[in-house]
Amino acid sequence: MAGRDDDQYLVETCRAGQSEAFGILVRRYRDRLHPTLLRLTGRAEDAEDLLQETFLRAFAKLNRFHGDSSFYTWIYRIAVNLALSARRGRPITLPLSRGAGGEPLDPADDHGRTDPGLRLERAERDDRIQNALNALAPDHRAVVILKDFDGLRYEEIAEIVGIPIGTVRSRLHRARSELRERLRTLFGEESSSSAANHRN
Amino acid sequence: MKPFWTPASTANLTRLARQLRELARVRQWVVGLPRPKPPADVSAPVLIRIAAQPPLWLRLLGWRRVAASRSFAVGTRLASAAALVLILTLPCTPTADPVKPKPIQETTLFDTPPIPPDLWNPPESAVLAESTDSNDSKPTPSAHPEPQPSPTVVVNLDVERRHQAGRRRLVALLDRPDVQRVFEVVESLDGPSRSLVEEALHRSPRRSKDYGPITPVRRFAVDPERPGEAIVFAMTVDTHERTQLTDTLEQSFAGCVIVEPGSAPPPVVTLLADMGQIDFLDEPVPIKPPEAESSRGAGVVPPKLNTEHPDLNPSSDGPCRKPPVRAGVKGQETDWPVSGNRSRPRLGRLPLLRARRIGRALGTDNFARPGDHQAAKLRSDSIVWLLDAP
Repeated sequence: MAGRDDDQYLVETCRAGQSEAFGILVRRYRDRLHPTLLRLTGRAEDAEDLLQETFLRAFAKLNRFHGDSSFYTWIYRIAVNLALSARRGRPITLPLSRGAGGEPLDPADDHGRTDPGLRLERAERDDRIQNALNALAPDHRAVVILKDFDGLRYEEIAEIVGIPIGTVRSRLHRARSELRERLRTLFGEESSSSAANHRN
Repeated sequence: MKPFWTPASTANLTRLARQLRELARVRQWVVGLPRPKPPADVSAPVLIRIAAQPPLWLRLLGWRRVAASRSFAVGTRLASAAALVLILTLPCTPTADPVKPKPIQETTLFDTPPIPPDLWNPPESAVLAESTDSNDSKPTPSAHPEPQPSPTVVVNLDVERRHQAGRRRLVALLDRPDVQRVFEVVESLDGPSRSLVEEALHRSPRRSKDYGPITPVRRFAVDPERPGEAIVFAMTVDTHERTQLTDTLEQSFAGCVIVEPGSAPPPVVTLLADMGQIDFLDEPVPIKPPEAESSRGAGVVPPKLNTEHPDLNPSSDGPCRKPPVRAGVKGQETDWPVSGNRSRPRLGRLPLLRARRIGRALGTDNFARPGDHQAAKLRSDSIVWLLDAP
């Protein structure tokens, strides 16, 4: 199992000079870090650059990792801080449901027999949600993504972003309220479609 | 004396309920955003860039600045020329008994044993659990030379296998289509079971949005300003359990089951929205007239009170040191003890003890055995009760 002890072992191996061990850590955590960076940065290219930069910075600061937290928490913190410092003052323009080449990213097919129309609908909805996310302030967007997208606890968010828990909750509430206002039309569409389904 | 319930409070409550539903839906939407995998394996370029980095002492000396300077380039060329001249002018006199060089022993800073082979080549189950696309993005052999694992393996393989089996079980549980949310009910926030679930959550890929919002939750939210008190008792029940709970509450706390008027502060709303599918009572629970009312004629009978615990008994000299406050349904006021330093009984305040008791009354006593955990399926029909603390 890729557990905490295992990560610590790989870190120590890497410190000992076997940098290939770091490749295991990179492969282990790239898939989990990438979506968060993609949501935070808004561009696939930026996300990939930041992903590499995160691991490089982690490698450079590996001696500072004492194992107090898990390696993932540590590297996640580096990634979020990098993304936040990179995104401040730079607006996001690209809709995130498009890939690097502009092709739409398929939403998760959770039923196995989803019709293409529904998938398109969902992709369009994801686009609108992402656009609403992009319109948030970076700090608010980060809190929403860390909490709702990555499922972190308030304590973890507070530690990563460096703010008190009460501020995390307030920011989260404001961010969700702002999102709700921006997605007001979507609420109307959903309720009308559900009503139509109910009538049928 | 403010009445417990007014039409305005119901309107506020309905509005709050709608806002909470919308916030919860926003959360669901964000959770459901797709999670695309990185288009390429970034481990190869990272390792290449790591290998290309100069040693630490050179970086500390400002390697790039030194290397870019003209004097450094001239000095390098002069040093190369001097070395060449030295090699050419030295006499080649081999000794009769050449000293055999000792084999260089690889010493490491931490005396770390080499990586066990199962880490270099993780088993199929681990690969399956991590990512379905990981096979497509295997690093090229040139970028990752195959290491030669040493026969000395330090990792306990039995523990590894056991962990992997547990992980597979949890991932399978989380990937079940009928599971909306897995939660643990434990006495404390610490403990191995919580870390096990968190580990599984961190490790498990979220292939579908329906399996995404998996968060260990507690049965009630604790007011951060008042640790030790539960401000809201949130619980997920179906219709049958809801009826049962209503009956139980009415029997135990007659006249006290009411909803909180007004809007909750943002942290509380956030906590409520985090609990997912939330519903409010649209109107307050009708208060049953006390049975003994007719026998007492026109007199006012205080609501029936469960007096098992001194905290709940208005006439008790138990731990509650605050002076009692006269409150209740209009015409049926009685003295209630107040927890905290409020000047009147706060609607929505529910002592922790009461929350546990309600859990037991419902037959869902999961608080009794610390460390004993179970996974349960939350049902879609969920309610949130805001109770008045007497």
